[in-house]
Amino acid sequence: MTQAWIPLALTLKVAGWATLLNLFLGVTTGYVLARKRFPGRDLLDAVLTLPMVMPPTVLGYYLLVLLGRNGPIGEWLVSNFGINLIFTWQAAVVAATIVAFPLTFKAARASFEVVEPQYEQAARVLRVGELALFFRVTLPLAWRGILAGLLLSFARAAGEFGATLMVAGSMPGKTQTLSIAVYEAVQAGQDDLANFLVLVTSVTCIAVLLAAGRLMPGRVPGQS
Amino acid sequence: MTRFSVFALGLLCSGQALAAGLTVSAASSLTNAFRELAPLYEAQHSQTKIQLNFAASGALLQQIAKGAPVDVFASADQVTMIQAQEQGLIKADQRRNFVSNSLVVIVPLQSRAAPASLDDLTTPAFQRVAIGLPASVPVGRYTKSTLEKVGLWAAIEPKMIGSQNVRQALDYVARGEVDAGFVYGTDAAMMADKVRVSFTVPTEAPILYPIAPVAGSSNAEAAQSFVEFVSSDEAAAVLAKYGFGKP
Amino acid sequence: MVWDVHLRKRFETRKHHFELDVSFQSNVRRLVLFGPSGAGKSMTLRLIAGLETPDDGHVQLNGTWLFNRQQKISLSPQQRGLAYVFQDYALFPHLTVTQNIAFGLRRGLFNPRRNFQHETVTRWIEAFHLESVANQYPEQLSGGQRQRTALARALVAKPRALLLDEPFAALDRQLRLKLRQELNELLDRVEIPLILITHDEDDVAALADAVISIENGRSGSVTTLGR
Repeated sequence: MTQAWIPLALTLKVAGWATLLNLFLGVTTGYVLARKRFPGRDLLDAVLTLPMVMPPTVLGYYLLVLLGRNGPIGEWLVSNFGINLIFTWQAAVVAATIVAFPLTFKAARASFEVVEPQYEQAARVLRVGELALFFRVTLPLAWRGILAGLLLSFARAAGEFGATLMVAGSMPGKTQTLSIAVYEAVQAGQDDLANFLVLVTSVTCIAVLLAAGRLMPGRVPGQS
Repeated sequence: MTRFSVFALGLLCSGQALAAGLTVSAASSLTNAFRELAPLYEAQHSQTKIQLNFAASGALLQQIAKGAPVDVFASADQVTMIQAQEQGLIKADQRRNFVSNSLVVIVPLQSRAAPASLDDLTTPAFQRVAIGLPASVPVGRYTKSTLEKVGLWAAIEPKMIGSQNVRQALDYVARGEVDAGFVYGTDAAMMADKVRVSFTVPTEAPILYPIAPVAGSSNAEAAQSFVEFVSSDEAAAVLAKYGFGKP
Repeated sequence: MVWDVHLRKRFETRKHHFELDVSFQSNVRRLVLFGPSGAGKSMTLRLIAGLETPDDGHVQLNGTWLFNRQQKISLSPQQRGLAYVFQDYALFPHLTVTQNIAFGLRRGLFNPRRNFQHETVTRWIEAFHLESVANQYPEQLSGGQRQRTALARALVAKPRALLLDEPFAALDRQLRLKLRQELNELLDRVEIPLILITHDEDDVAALADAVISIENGRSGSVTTLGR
């Protein structure tokens, strides 16, 4: 049953990186969309939400076409850096990041919108710079909503299957994540292995959610 | 508003309810051939409507084993059908072989490096080789056993890019994501504009596809009739068009 | 001249159209902008503080340009060195009273710690009698305590001028009287110019050296009062 630990480690690695990427991408995007007004803002929001509603295989197909050796981005990567993303764990990270991105950025945008602009304005008059006030005022007031979005992101990234299969393939130890391993075990009639993998996945998810619940502190005074 | 609700309800309830359905689970490599055979059969048997279901033979077996309502099973190798028989899932007395196929090594059309033999695949010129997952995909099983016989599996396995079915392996080669791939001769013919055959792999035993009615089928008569149709000369002519040989 | 202000800004939404055109020059220490709700008083104050940008005009305080469209000067709110107290105080809910007051003293990426000690902060806490609530959070304070905290926070950084947006609006009459008096005493000590906006005539009577009426986005002339 040691076969389960490698996919588990790989899944955690891929989901971990994807969530970390989404922390930066999602929070930045959420902030910009919450605070800046510009024509086409709602359209941009809708486009950025697409990966969440698009079937993962469709998304995987687009990624394959873009990142593949003959695709626009893939070819650029190969000729300039000698990098081919397809069938690597990095491709799995790309797929997982994209499908989970809307969860983070939407939560971030909603959380930032709820923070009254007055607090940021007060900080400005008190001579605190933009970057500093983001970390000292905006983020502390928005972080709980953002964290909730990140958790959902992590779960989504860990469960990602369709798009991952298309661009990362299934290579034991390299790109065979838990969900793919389960799928293949079932296809091969290895029910015992499938059951064990499913059990490992479920326990891991519950553990992550419990740990996150512990991390969230009690009510911050002054906030509901 | 009511008109919309009726429409939505209609959508939800839609589906064939008139003709008797016959569900045929067939290996991926049979996709195009069976899509042409099904209407031919329906034309001769107007009371039957065929539903085709394609995937790797191993996956199809699991579906049937778990109780999927399948009437006919056509697999790409004997091993899977034997497993089905051992589990009592098919009517063994009506099982028969209906086509033969070949195992080939293909490369992307524009590729300059083309292996002339299995040994060539062990060279650094070929970093990635698409092979079906041996645990569930017959073409992968054929590949692995052939390579094992000539002692090359250990050298080639690290380069293997596993595919869920033979068509996915074909796609990887067509896209240029891998340097070479193992598929059936019939599949290579399907994408002659994107891949080219390097050489045919000599397999220990000929590749024969079996077909059988499923034991739990609710439409035993039609199932048997379809199996006989697929084994007929008329069907053989259609299958030959796609590159399948006689059994 | 203490204040030389000329502000023009146009607001257009799909339904409304509002034009602000406010001008005044004043030499007095305590200036009150008086007018009904929606007249544009808050907006005027925000434009002076740099929280919004006018379409045209200039703002000069004691000879320094804070904004001048013609000369292309536009200081950010951070650079203007003013003190601003919002109508509902805008105290940072996640920081204690001490941390709130000390907020402007730290410029980096971190807030002052909970046990932050600083001479100026301590002085203001004592001046406003906030010792008992120094470690509490804004939601635990009374209205009067919040107002004083907001004032202390604004004054700690030694501002050039004090801008107050309806400072007594949220308080009951008793408290209002008390706090007006406190504010008067404070302003006597601190000696920095003040602009206060209100719709309450009693505020004008108690605090103003001069008053300007603002109505419908337009300013009237400056009326000096003997106080």
